[in-house]
Amino acid sequence: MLYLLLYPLHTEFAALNVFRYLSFRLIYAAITAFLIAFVLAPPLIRRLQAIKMGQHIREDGPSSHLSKEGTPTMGGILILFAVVLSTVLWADITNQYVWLALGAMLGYGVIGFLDDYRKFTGSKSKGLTAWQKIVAQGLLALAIGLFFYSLPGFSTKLSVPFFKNFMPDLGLLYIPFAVLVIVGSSNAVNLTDGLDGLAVGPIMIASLAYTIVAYVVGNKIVSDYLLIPHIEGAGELAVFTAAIFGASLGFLWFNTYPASVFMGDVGSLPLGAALGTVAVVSKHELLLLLVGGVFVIEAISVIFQVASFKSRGKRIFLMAPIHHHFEMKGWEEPKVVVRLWIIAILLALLSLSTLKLR
Amino acid sequence: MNAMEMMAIISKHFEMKGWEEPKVVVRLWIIAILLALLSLSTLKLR
Repeated sequence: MLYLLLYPLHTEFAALNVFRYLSFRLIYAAITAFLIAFVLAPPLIRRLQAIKMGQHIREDGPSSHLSKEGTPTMGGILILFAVVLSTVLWADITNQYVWLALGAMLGYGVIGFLDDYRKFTGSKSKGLTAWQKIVAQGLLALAIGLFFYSLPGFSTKLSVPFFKNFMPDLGLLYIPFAVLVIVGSSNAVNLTDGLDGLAVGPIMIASLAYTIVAYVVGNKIVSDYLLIPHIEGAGELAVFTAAIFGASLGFLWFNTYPASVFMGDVGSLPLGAALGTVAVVSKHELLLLLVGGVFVIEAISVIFQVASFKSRGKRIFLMAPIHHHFEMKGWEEPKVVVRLWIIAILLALLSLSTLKLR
Repeated sequence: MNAMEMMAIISKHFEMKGWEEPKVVVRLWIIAILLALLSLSTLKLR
């Protein structure tokens, strides 16, 4: 919005010229989102405590987690608010991708909110039924996929990390593929959200990586140089991902071990879906498997654990998702969290190197 | 380390205020990240 309001005035005030630059706008989008989250968190936490919106801790989880009972949850609302406000302020709001990403995030936010709210009123650690949740997520992702498919100039070709010439055209199959990316990413982040700051850290790192991807893809000169398909307008998504980075950073201040607030499904589901949507729009869908590798590891640990237990009656991990396995092995919670952040940073670096290695 | 020094090093100050060690550490990381962002924005703002 500031771009539309202030940039046209640059003929009178030369200083306003900076609003043209994406790099300037995305940095300030991050800082603005940080400040919104940082300033509003304490009153929100007090409010959540007042209405007793506390997390119920799973009884079959690690015993060290029982002391977390009653920590306020649904802090994700704050992240969503900060991201929306900051993105609308700093992005070019005539850009359709920006609205699509915001819409996808808010839609998943509603699903997450209903899930959290059901847990709260039902007074159990269980929210929506698994079926209700997956159907709602699937339908929403389908709507996003169909919308993409209908956009003029949208390519159904898939870019594969490390390859520049191998770009299979999925055609109509691109729609179910996009659904898989968005729903998978949303649920994987949800599974990861089990320790203080564990989800929000890799979210920050992945959103930073996709800020760079979106910037590169949206810039004609840089994308031509790197032999990456150029997508007109995708650069504005960098403002959105930068806002996610900033809002998450502000949230982390209160969510880091020992947490004073949890994000809840209202945070993890939309943040995962937002990353999935950005991956689809920037045409770097498969790269998300690497950028969000921590989420993938967490999801796979659950799948393998369940499959192994059902098929041979034996568990692979002491407890799934894998962060509980490390805790059961005796690592302290902050150590598990920071080590998984380190892995996320390494994977993000590797992912960025694929922009050049192809 | 005597009481005077305990207060002079700001990280210790926060711990004495009752913040747990991992919280002090991560919050100082957050400040470092913000400062780095601000620094990078000065490349454009000149």
